[in-house]
Amino acid sequence: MYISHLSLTDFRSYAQADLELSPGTTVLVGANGVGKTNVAEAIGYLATLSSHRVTSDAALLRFGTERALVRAQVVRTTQTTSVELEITRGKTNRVRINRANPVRSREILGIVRTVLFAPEDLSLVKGDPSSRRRFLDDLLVVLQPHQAATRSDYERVLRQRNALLKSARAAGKLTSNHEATLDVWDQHLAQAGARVLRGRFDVLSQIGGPLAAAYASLTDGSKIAAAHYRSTVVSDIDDDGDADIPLDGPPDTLLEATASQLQERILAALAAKRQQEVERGMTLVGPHRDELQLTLGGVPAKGYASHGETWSLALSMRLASYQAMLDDDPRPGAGPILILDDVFAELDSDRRARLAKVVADAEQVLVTAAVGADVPDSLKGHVLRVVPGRIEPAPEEPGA
Amino acid sequence: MYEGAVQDLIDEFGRLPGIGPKSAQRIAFHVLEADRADMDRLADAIRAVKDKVKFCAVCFNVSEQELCNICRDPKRDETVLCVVEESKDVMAVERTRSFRGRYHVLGGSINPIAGIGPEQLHIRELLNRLHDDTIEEVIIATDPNLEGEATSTYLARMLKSLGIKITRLASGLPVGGDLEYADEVTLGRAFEGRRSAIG
Ligand SMILES: Nc1ncnc2c1ncn2[C@@H]1O[C@H](COP(=O)(O)OP(=O)(O)OP(=O)(O)O)[C@@H](O)[C@H]1O
Ligand SMILES: [Mg+2]
Ligand SMILES: [Zn+2]
Repeated sequence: MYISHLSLTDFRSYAQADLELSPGTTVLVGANGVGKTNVAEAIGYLATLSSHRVTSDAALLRFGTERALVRAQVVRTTQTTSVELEITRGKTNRVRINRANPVRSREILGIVRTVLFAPEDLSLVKGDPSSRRRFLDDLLVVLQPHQAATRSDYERVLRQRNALLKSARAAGKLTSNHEATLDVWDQHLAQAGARVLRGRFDVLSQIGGPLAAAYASLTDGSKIAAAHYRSTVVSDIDDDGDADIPLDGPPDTLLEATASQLQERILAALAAKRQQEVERGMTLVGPHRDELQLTLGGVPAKGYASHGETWSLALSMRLASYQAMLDDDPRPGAGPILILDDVFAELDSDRRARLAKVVADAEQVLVTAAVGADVPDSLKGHVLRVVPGRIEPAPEEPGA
Repeated sequence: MYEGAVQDLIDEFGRLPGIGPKSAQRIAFHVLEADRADMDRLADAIRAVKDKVKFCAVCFNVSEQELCNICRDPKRDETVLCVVEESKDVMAVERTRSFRGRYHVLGGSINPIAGIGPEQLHIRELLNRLHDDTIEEVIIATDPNLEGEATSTYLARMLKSLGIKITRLASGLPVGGDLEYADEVTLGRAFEGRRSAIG
């Protein structure tokens, strides 16, 4: 798919910007801080309803304004859809699809698909388990938009259950009233948690192969990249995500379990940990504490991989989600839009060339770079120059 | 900060549900500028509701007498009991005209974040009402949101051993919302399609 027109109103540094885009590669070039990533972020937001940089929408509104608009024309196979997303301070966001009446923003999910590569992706490998859990959960929502509610349901149950555990801890003991109420929240947590887990496992089965393939294509292929799900439901995992099970242990049957089997497993794990949970006043078992462990050649990537390997692995995670989206909707003209924000500057020339080769087949690729020369020639395509608050066609010989 | 009386009024409004600081200020200034007679009527209405209206001794619905009109009405079916969170939910169910039994108002839902556990709700009184075998079916009509569902689960577990038929409203109600916001037709259908809450 591709975006043919993008318009930003009071989004980040733009009072108003209009951008005509075409299939193929477009490179946004401009000095640091002119607003290149802001464009990438806006498109990413249309796809995921979240920013890859900030957790709160407030930073997306241009300083001093209350409402931002992101409008786009999206062409998928032969179908054109217009979307208009309204981000309002302190209110729920709304979207208009094909100029119909505004509806809740969630309805936009599934219309625009993007894969966004950014310097922040290093945290997929080096960061907390939460970044890898988010990677899985975000991809799940892309592949199955109705799952958007699954994660928020789980988080609501979790907050309630934690509040209850906290009050039990404050009371110093588990009264029979606490016990009975806790049983109820256990049941709801297990139900919601099983749906989260089942969704993550589905995603995992879709990216396993592509992850290894992508890593092989970005490197000389001597090490194999893999992702292993480590669940608190079956083993002890500490706060850093380190599991007590050996990497070469027997394969986990959890991945094949049905939602109702998973529910039983979660209930059993909660029962086993109840005393400890009351002592600490928090929920210790469940998908919110799990880890997706990445390995290179059978060795954990986090803490062991070199800088270059870390980059290749982070890019491979993104490429794997690109492949999963292609597999999910293989029709010509239905693949996701690739956005490469500032990544070439971070890579050596060999990795640059390899990455350029892999992404060249995508229907639409948006690349941002502070220095045009960092972008491999094969991806030069159409160049736009970004200056503060404005985006304009570049003069004939760009940057080089 | 405003002076004494005005600030007191803003603070009082700010404590009401659904009213933020800005609205509190707006309403306070409205009161300040409004007609004296209108505001006296408002003050009287508030006083009257606190003086006259209490909660029904049996079902905890709002009532001007010891027992509410529904509990006093001999034509209501005393074998079916509908459990709701709030008095306003009684009104919502009454509007559907599909229910002829009696009610039990819990006074909220289980919500640990708000510090509300089963002890804070009228659950013990509910159990007392179920002691003889007049009541044959309990319909749990808590809100279709997480806290309402949790309360429903809790009740279903508690009442399971009593051997009474326990049912839950059919799904189809707008999820995440309040019972009172469901339209009559939808709520009526949810009553018709109620299913066992046990198992
Ligand atoms: N809400 C906002 N309102 C106004 N300006 C903003 C807002 N958020 C960010 N900016 C401005 O946008 C600029 C950053 O834009 P952006 O991150 O897109 O830069 P960039 O072109 O990607 O730079 P780099 O090459 O360093 O990555 C900063 O100057 C910042 O002050
Ligand atoms: Mg940038
Ligand atoms: Zn009554």
